[in-house]
Amino acid sequence: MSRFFHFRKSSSRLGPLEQRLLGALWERGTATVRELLENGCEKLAYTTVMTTLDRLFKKDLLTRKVEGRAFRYQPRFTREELHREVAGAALRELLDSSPGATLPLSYLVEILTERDAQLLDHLGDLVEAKRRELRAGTRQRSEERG
Amino acid sequence: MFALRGVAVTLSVFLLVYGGLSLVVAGSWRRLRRYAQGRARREAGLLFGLRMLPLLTAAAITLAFTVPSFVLLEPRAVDEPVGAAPLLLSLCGACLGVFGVVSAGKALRRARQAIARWTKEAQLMNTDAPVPVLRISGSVPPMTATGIIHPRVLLSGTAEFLLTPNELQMALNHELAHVRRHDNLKKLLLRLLALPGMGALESAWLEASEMAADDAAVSNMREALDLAAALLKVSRLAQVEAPVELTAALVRTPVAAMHARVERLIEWSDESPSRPKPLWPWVVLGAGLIAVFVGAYGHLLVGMHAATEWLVQ
Repeated sequence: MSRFFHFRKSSSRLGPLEQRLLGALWERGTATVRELLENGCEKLAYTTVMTTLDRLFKKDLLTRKVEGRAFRYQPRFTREELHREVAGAALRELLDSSPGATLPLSYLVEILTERDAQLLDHLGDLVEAKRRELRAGTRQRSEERG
Repeated sequence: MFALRGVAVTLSVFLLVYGGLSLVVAGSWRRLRRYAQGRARREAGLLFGLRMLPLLTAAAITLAFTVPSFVLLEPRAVDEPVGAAPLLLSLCGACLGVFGVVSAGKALRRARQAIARWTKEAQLMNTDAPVPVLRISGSVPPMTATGIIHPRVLLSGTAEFLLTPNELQMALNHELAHVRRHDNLKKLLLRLLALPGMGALESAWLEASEMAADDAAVSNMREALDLAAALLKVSRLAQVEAPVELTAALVRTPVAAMHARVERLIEWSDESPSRPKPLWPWVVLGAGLIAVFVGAYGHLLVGMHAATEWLVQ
């Protein structure tokens, strides 16, 4: 229980480099500092990557085991699990921030409705663009034949 | 006493197999799902099959081994006591069964009430669909397939007005795919077999079944875009009312859940699907299993009887 509490608190504040290295580890599954430097993190210093991974380990987001003279790191949670936890932590913080529970909930419903409408508009635009593309392709083919 | 012992043993074995396999399925379905990901029909079939696997296996073991081993090998003694474990297990099994029946009954009643409300002033539409299509007076549900024994598709006048003829046809194709795949019956089965810890698997199946119905409804890019446009138009109406159990609505809230469906349709490929794999390896495997089963049946019955004796004592 305390592990999850710590995880929730720490994971909601990830720096850009921490996010980048965590992303690289999700893609690779497991990696050592050397392997990360050789694949995609070439411009970073060894000590920077090492310190950042150590920080992620202390935040309970990574596990590690000794491999020779180095550590092999592995994400403790999947990308989806982390997203869910971060979103949950943010929502809990929002709900705790107000003396009345219904006020933040009403904001949330308002924002969700707004986001739903935006999402539908965006998807509608994508469908229309694809339809135009399809019509243009059909017209071009018929012109080539004609 | 003999009959009571028989019922207790049968229900206990059923519950042990059902519960054990359910735990295995709940812990492994996400990994197994990867083998079918990207092919919605196969994924939906796999997920539903996994959900049904504990029940079917438990029923098969009970009917093929437990009951015959008890009837054939158990002495007809009336004074043999029944241990606390089989009594408790059979009681749990009976409670699970009653809970499932009550839960399915409630879902059926809610669905029946909702359908009766929706179809109060419904009119039969003239379509070439294999099931009746009714135009309902309200605006919600915009489009939904209802019924298990006598399926019907309900369409609201508002949805009919909003959709173009092609979009309407694709939306109807989607609902007819649900009818052909007996999705409402499958939902009823899920209610009947309600079990804690299976919610995520059931949600994943629901999502995959919607995508499978999308795939079955369209056959080219133009049709895929028509269905995507229909989904978008209808989802603006569907937000008014929450979906009703045991019905197959064209869109389900929240909108974010529909995002993936529309994106799949936009990325539709006109390439012909890969040819289905031959069935003969499965037929050979099945025949081999049946041969082993027939050859070893006597030994299996004796083994099962020994196991149930241990359970009773």
